[in-house]
Amino acid sequence: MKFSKSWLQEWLDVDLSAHDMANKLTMLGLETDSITPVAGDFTGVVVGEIITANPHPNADKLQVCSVSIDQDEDPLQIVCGAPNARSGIKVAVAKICAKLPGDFKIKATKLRGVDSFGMLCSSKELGLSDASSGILELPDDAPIGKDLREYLKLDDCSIELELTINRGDCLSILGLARELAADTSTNITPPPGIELKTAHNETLNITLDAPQRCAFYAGCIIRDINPNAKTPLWMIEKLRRSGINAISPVVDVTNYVLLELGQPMHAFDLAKISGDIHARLAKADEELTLLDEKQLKLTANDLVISDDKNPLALAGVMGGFDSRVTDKTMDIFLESAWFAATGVALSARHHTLHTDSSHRFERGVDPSLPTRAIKRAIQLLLDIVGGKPGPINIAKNANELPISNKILLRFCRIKRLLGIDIPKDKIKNMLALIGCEIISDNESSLKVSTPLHRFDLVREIDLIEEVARIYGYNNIPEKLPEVEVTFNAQNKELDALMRAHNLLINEGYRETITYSFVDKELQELLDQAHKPITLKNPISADMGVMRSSIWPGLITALRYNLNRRRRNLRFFESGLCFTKDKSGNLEQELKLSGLLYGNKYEEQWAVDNKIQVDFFDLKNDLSKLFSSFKINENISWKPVNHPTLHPGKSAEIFCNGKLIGYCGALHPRIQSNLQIEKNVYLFELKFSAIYNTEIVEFKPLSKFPEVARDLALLIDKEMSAASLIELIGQLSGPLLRRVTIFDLYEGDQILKTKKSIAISLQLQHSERTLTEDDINEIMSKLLVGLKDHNVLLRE
Amino acid sequence: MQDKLTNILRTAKQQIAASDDLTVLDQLRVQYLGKSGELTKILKNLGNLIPEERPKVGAKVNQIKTQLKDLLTERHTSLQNAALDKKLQNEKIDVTLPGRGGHLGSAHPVTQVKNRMIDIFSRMGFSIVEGPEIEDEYHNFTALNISEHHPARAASDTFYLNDDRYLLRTQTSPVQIRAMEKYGVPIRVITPGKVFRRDYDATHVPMFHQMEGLLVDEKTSFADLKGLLHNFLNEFFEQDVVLRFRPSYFPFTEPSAEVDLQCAMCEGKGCKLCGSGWLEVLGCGMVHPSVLESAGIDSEKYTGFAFGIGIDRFAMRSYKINDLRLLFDNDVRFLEQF
Repeated sequence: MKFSKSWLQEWLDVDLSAHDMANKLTMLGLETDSITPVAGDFTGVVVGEIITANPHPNADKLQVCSVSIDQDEDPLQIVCGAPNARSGIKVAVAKICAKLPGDFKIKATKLRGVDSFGMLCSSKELGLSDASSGILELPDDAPIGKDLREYLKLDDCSIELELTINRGDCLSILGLARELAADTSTNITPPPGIELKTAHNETLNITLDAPQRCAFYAGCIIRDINPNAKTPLWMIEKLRRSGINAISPVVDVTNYVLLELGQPMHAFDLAKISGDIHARLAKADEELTLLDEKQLKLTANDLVISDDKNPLALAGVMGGFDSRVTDKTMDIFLESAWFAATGVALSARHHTLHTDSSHRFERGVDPSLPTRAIKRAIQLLLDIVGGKPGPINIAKNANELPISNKILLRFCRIKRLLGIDIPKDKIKNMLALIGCEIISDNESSLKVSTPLHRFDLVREIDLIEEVARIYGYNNIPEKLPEVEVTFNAQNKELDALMRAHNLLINEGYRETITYSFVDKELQELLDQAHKPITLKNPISADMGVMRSSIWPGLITALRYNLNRRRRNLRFFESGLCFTKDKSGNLEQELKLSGLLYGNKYEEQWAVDNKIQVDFFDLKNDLSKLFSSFKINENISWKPVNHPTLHPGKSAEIFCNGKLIGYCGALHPRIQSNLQIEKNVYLFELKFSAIYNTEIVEFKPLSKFPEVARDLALLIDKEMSAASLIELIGQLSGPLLRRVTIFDLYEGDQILKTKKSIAISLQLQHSERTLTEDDINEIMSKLLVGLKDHNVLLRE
Repeated sequence: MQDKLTNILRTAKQQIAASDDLTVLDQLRVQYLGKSGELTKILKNLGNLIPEERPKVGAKVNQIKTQLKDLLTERHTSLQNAALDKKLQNEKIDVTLPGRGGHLGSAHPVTQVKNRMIDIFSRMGFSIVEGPEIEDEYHNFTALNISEHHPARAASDTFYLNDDRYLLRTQTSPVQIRAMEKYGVPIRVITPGKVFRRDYDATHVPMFHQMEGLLVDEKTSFADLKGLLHNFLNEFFEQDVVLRFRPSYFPFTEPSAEVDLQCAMCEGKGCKLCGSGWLEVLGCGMVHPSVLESAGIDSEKYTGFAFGIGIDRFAMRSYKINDLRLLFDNDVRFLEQF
């Protein structure tokens, strides 16, 4: 809602500066968005009259004007290039030494050899508009010599409010004046009305065929208006300062009333209406061309104003093109009606239309306004375009019109909700200020009737809010809640997640936050197991589906940074991922994912900078993560054929036999598809499966020394390290504490089908020192057993 | 004889002082104090002296021996130290060279600010509850007193799934409803998380983070809400902040308020940084009775307050980040600063 400060001031009994006015409105819950001056910063511009305008001797497009700015002195000679400069009009004259916006000083000058003593100004040059097609033409009765700022009351501001949707009653000068009057305990002064005299008895019959949608319709025929009339400058200015461009006198008047009282109105060209007026639901497939020439296919949910044949307007939203008022219109039919909020909202949303009219109706318009507004409009029209008004014809269905709510307000609830005692008289007074009526009162409560313009006052809590608002939120003291001291429940999952974050950060990973919706193609490339869950109304195609994995986000972050010449990257992210299970149920699962790329170390002086990260760097980081949750012992890694991952460098990860995630190198085909130069290592874990809150049980320490034995073994290439270690564990018996792999060799020295693996066994007895004989026995049993499995000592 | 001894002492002293390595020093020890050293020799030959001279000379020799022993030890220590010093000097490294190994990663600024808020509210006894990001209309709108025709429900503001029953939550308030359904009242929770709105420009991104709070019990009033939030903001900004509460409208709270923080630069007078002198920091209010009723709670017996804080905007303010979109570009040059 944008309005002219001085317009609102006209309605108030108390003088307020623009700043105070804006501040008061803000603190009433009507937030000020901006305060802007209505004209540029200029001085020395006065009203003048062009006495003569003659062609310039040396230039086709210039005129030499003689301009009077003082009855008692000789006119000034001013050279002007505007096509509309002509004798007899009143204009804005910047005198010598005037200062125009942009610190532009007017000096006496010569234009193509002719002296010029000033400048005739356009509205753009004065900061009154963004564009203008010639010099500003002032009304004929503008007093010569009068300072323009004074004459046009330009020391004014446009104030723009950002209103919440519950306060439709404040979308007018009337509504804002009511609020400020309540705040300052003063009265409002509306402009004086006059008794309207009808000049004829013609009316159109009005029928309300859908009374739930339109329960009140006032119409009036005005004949013989002056099609050449012009909107007065004061009205143009008030509209302009309130954000509405002047169009034509009739439209300007309806807009003026809309701003002044908050009642949207419409004027039809009477000649285009055939028969009566009907407020009815549209028939399916009926069509209507709107004022903006947009063609609508109407639905049975649209309320239209129609004549006997065709729809004329989409009720409460916009008038139709064919019945619009034009510069040839002689007779008009004026509409001022009450349309139900939800109906207008439905139509506007269905046709994706939003107008000043629908904006107000959707929020609710006072049902007592239409009559007041049509009278005000007729009065303004008679002043501006003349004409002969007929009687105001009203169709009404009282059962469907909103009525005042009767609400019980208990003092104890005010105290309970706001935490303060407010004296009863003060409460009554505040409610009266906002237009409520006290029907009855007793020691403990009030019975309150709400004003018709306040659709938001429905139940007791709404009145308590009004009491708080008028009392002033900032006058309510602060205190702290009195609560029972209890332990709040610990969020173990979140605590564990933060521990995992910290561990990864220590390993050099940076946390990313990527969008939960990703590009469909990228997701399908990286997750072929799940059908993407698509958004119906994405913001763009590359944010079209809900992520089923964090990998698309991480890969996107990787590519973004590779494009910015970063080479070595480690990312992690945790968050919900979205999939559907086999029966189509939506699953939202917390995942922890990471990405490793490039060299193991950033370039530095003391390490081999060329070492690239590989699977085992990733695996080590994950093992640390599992160790930190004390589950590393329960984890197993199995080679996997995952369509997204390198078939030879990827694993599925199990915890106690349950699949908890995947890791490995991105499939080289996908990697080259995405134009990524080096291998990308990825992991993704179901977070709920890895955090463990069990408390560790202590194992006693042995006093007896550990003995180490190293073996170099020759095994089949296909045999995995995990199965070798498992085998050694089975064959060595209970005294084996640990097996460590300390070397791996594949190459020319041995058969191509074999690999050599060097291991170290740690043996220990918990109750005595192991003897050489004990150890030899274990080792020889082990070697015999290994031989049975085709695992040989390397010679 | 006395003269001879004095000469020996003088010469020995000079030689010890002049010695500059441990081998020479050892030779001197042998030369004077060894089994066939000069002083030992004199002692051995004491018998050749006249009897009355013997004790005098013996005593003198022993005195000189002690003196030379001390000198030799002293010189030995000093030469040893000098040798060590020289060795260590050769081992010198340039300590200004950088350290070796991997670098430290970083937590996203939004997570850091979120954790800070969680920490403060945890200390005030709030539990942390999270919920689904894909919500149903009931929990995101209906239960929050957002009418069927409220503009927020329009597809221009809210993301819907192809299956119309589901949408991306537009606030974390549905988690409050779920928490009340699950845990009942009294309740004291915060609900941090991602939220989604169909907006994308210099000052809006379609996904951001909220921290909502909810306290419902048999006593709580608007005065408590004011006190609690003021305490929180003092704690977060680590200074006594000046606030103003101004009336606003949210369907799920009433009375509703926006909280403005007085600009620290201009103290509310208005400046380039803040415009009006006040910076909007959060929205809050008393839980609307309809919302309590939706969750099956007696709104006569229980009252409570709720508040919602934009974590991303707090992160921007904390770290002086000037463009919201930077938060989700994941540019390493940005991430590594936190």
